[in-house]
Amino acid sequence: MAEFEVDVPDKLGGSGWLDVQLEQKSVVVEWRAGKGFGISSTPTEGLGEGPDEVYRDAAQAAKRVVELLTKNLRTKPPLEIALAKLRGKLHISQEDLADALNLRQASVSKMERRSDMRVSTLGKVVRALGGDLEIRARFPDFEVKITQFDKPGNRNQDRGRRSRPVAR
Amino acid sequence: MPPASSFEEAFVTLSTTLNEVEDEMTSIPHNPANWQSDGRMYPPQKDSIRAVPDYPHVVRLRTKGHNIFIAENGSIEVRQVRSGAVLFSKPGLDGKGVWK
Repeated sequence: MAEFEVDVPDKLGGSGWLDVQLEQKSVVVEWRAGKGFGISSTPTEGLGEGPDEVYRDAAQAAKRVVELLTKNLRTKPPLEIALAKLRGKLHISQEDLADALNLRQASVSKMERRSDMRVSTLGKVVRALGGDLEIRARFPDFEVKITQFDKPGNRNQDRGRRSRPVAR
Repeated sequence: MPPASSFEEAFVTLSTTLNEVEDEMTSIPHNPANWQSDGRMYPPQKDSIRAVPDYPHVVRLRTKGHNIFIAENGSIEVRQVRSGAVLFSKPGLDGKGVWK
């Protein structure tokens, strides 16, 4: 049987915590108004870490907690990554990416150092790396996928240049 | 971290120290409004305060894996939630600890 411990703040508006333990496995759930339910497997390192997974819906969060504990799984922390690191993680060289994008290697290098780029360019790069770009907007009470840039008519006209995924 | 002489001073020093460390370690900008999901570590927020039964001079702030106790004399103690193990402690400017 699982053990639950609820830890609520003195003032309304602060984070509430639910510690759940089932045999040797445990998870912690943080709830904050407007932010949803943050779930993390424990033990956990690092003072001040955010949750590994966030769910807006209580039912989904509860389902995930049950899954984690009954199937002996661990939450997956979010990844934040810059393009150059992503390319490295996929073991793709700048030269190979440049080839897939019909660019020079120097252009890829310059692009990876930019802090701003067109959505269409980012999409081409991600597709050339073998992925798909999805843009999501997060609001206090909901999250939504932005589809405006998915429509063919809204894509940048890039005549004569097509990108293809890097062959691996 | 220098010793503090009050809860407020200890809280500000703790928060500032943690934020400065994160500023060094990540390119994600400090934005507590995004704190649950942007991948950056944040110090506990003041709305996370809990009273500590039988110790009216101490408050507790809860984070994912830690309880942070701060006393009115500025002393701090950080404990792991699961085991209760003390991971860090610092007396206040008066030389006394959280539990005096």
